[in-house]
Amino acid sequence: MANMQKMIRNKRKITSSTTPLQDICYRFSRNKTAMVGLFTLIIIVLAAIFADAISDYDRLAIAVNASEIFQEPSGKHWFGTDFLGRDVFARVVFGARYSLSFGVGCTLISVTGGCLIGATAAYAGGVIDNIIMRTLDSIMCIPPILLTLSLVSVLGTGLESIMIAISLGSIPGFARIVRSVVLTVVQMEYIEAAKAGGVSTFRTIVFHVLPNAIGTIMVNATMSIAGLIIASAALSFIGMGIQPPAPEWGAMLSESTIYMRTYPYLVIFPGLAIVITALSFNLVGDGLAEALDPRMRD
Amino acid sequence: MNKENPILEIRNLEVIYQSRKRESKAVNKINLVLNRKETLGLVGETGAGKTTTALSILRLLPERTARILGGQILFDNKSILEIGEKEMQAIRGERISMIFQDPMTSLNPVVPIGEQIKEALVLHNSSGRSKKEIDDRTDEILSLVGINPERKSQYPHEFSGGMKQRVVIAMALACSPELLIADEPTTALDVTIQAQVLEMMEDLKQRFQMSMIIITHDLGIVAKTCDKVAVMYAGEIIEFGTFENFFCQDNRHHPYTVGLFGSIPKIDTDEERLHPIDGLMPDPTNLPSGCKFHPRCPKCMEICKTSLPNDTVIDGHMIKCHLFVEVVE
Repeated sequence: MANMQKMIRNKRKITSSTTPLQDICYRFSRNKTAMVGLFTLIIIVLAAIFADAISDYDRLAIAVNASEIFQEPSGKHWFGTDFLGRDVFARVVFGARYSLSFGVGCTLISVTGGCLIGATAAYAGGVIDNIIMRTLDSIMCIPPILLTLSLVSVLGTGLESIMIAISLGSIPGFARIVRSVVLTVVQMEYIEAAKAGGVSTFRTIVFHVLPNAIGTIMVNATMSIAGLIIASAALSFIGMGIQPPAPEWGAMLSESTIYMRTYPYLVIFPGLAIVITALSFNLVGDGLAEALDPRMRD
Repeated sequence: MNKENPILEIRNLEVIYQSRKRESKAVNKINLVLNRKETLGLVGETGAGKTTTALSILRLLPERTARILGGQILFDNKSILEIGEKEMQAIRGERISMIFQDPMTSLNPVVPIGEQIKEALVLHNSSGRSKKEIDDRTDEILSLVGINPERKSQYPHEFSGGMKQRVVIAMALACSPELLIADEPTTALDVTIQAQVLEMMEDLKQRFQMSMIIITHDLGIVAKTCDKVAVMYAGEIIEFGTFENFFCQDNRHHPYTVGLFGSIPKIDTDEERLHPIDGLMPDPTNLPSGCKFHPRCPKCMEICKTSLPNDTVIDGHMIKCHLFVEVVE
């Protein structure tokens, strides 16, 4: 971490010109809490990617092992074992795959959808804008968990359908943000200047409006990953998400609630995993927001 | 001057802004002629319709609210209010360029300045320049406006206000336009930088042989740069004439112009107070009857309150005021 800071500082000295990206990285790297979040996140991502090297899916995370049920955390089973003798540590590590792909995947879907809808509304204006935004408003009136549940019961409990069900609920929020950002950027004088230079509407949107709006959109996307991870865990907790025996964190919590009083570690570890992942995404999001804020420039 | 072939001619242009049920009359039937290689100063208070006129020429009025009710704009004898959007895009930036008021906000903050200058060149590459030639041209135009071409990979926030205005000017000049519209190009700059920028613009105008419209409310800038002057008030051109008409022998002026000159503090006389023109610009949704200036005019007559004066032209010097009607007759 300190090394990275040093590198960036040196780079600032060598090149007289810093790109906004370098500037943002520099400011981000000086934000300690954000760096902690990023560091934790990197560990979680690495664990998810190399889960097979860390542990064994078939033998430890899935297979029932009657001789080793309810073992306390030890050198052999770091997080103990559950009521079927499965290694909780292995399940938490493999569970990261589900949670991360839910968080990132759902966010990608809702950001893309939100960008398209929001930008269209902002650009079209008038009646079209009104129709789109009022429709989104009415979708936002439905409690998200209810919307997701009804979508899941229609689409089924596969990975993709759960992703779509969760994302649909968060598209309206993104569309609103994107619409307001685009409306602000479009009013800027440099957009008018670009038009005065003979730039076409499409090119104006792609080269002048989007790069200026991307910061706000990215911050909101990062922050929403945490929320969506929790939403997917909640869905599994009530049994409508990823189905057992797959090691999803929410599902693990759900299975273990009945043993909670006698074997608290069964809920502590998956719970901690959810909290820590969500927290680090939020920290990174906060750091990004601060790094992107022009008032923080020095 | 060849009077036969003006670069820009505005005839009876009328623009309104509509919001809900209110209509703001921003530009009311103005006429303007600008010959090649001439500089026209468009002077007037805030809200007189100067910027609206400029945006109409580029067809960049806000679509949702502004409407051109009537009139013609002829650019190089072509009516640009009638041509298609594609054709207009080809004219914008290549043949007519505009410099916007505030250099701080008219540059895209996330694109290096070299790229921004290059954009116009790439888009209007009718002569088929190669990549290398476009890069060379970018360097050339940057050195013309007094910026080291090595700084072209830098971002707008790394430049000072005066330097940014130079970048904006470089962007506007990249394609050697025939007409440059400068909307208060120096308002956001401090006085020393103002002088530098004006000098540079004058120099570049000679070099590129372009025509220029300078929108300003600073008569000092007009005196320094313009061949012709048009004074706007409440969406009308109330006085139009040559530089000489305004700044030399001629004593006939519209009372509003007299007021404008009177409000400039004089350095050689000992004055306690400034002499502003009394009153405020009329509400464009509710313009006064007759001459628009009559409620503020020190020489207001009965006739001014009811009838709109015609344009009185004396040797090419146009004044829209009842005071001068008899002079001609």
